[in-house]
Amino acid sequence: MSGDAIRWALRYYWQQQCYAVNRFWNADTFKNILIDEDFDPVRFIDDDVLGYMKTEAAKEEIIEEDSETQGKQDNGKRSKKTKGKSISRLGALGVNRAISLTPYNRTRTFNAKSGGDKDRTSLHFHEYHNTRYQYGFALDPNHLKDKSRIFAVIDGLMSIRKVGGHNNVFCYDFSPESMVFRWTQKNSPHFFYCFEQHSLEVEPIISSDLIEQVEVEDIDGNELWIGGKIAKNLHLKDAHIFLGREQAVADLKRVIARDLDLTEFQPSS
Amino acid sequence: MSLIALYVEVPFATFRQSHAREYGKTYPVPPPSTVYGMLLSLVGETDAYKHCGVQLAIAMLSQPRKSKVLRKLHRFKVKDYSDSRNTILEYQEILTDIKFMVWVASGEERVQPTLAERVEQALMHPTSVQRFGCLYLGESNDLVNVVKLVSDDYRGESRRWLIRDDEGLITLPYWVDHVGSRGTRWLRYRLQEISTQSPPESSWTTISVPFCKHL
Repeated sequence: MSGDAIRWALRYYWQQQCYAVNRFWNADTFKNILIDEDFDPVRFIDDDVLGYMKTEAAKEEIIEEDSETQGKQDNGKRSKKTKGKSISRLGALGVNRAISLTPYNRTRTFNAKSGGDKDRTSLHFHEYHNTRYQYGFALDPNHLKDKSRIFAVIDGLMSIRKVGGHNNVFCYDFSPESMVFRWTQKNSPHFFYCFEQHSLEVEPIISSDLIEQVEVEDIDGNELWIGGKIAKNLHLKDAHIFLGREQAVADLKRVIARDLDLTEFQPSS
Repeated sequence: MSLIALYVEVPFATFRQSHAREYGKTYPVPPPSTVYGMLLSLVGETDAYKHCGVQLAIAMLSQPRKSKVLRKLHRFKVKDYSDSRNTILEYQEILTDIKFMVWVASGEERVQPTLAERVEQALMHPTSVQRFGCLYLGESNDLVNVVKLVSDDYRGESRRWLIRDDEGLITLPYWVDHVGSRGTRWLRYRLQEISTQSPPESSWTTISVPFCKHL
């Protein structure tokens, strides 16, 4: 599952929560509508968090005359070459691909189209994968025009729904069953894809690699917030461990608000 | 001579080939230009010319596997942003499990502090460096998982060195001209397993362009 699919779902969540988004999804016509072609990271949360790129082709391009003809107004034109331009903003949020915890075991269903005219697609197979996914993300809150949007990112990731899949089978839940946050000054997270599941019959666990990194203090346990089913019976030195996902997020938000000097969690207008 | 060694780990990345069009073909290893770009991002430098003259040596610690995915590509064929003709489906190659070491030698640089010094500073004292955004290698969805300072003998496993070779089968850019491609510069390489901890002489690539204003 691509990071773009997750980013799309995040933007759609913001739209449904009435944040101002620049790329508005019309669910009736199945089209994205761009509200402001010039983009505005102050006004729109998606322009700020996810970034954008506006490109403009050259409007006029005349390539002619060599140096001998230059200056002769009647015979030669002055070289007039306008360049295209692009305005871009690197988003504050990066999202990696979601990958399955267990390998695909070739499960398929056999289907028949009901009603209407029968054609060569009347009988068909569907491949499906009964699994969990894990993915990583990183956010630089100092790059946000409005730092309080970090809470909208966390809320969005906790409530994310429509990620990838068929248009009409968006019914599975992509919000995390378990999560690991690291609130740090370091340049790289060191713990991406830290969930392991050795078969469908057993529950996922935290990778031994992450546990070792905390034990040898390469990762400061105090920087970790772990929530959800994965936290059951988990002991990790100094880490903030919560069985409840909401408890973990609330505690993390409290620390973020303190460190970024944010006084409230309310979304900006 | 200012010399540092880094260990870099990236779960997924695509290093788009310079001549690829719709089909997103990837180089098999991170090109020197891409690694240079990541180092500039790490230290918060937006002037790509600033550290011309720096030398990089790369040794692969993993053998990244290549997969092919179908992705939606946006283009602007018509002015209406929502028009379906502005979106097409194309294949893209991605690499999985990229682990490598990169040595940064700043002996030929003319600026102070050098890139090696700035990288060292950024990794040892992250709060002292003004930078923005997440750290990527390749496209801006290919997040770096680990970048850290290491010693030459870090992980004594076999290393496949990126060796300069005029007859090598891997052509990689060491400088990319993002406005047109006239200024893009390539070198040919081969990957060779050599049992040495320090970079062989032929593994060094100098990041430089003829019009570099800092040289």
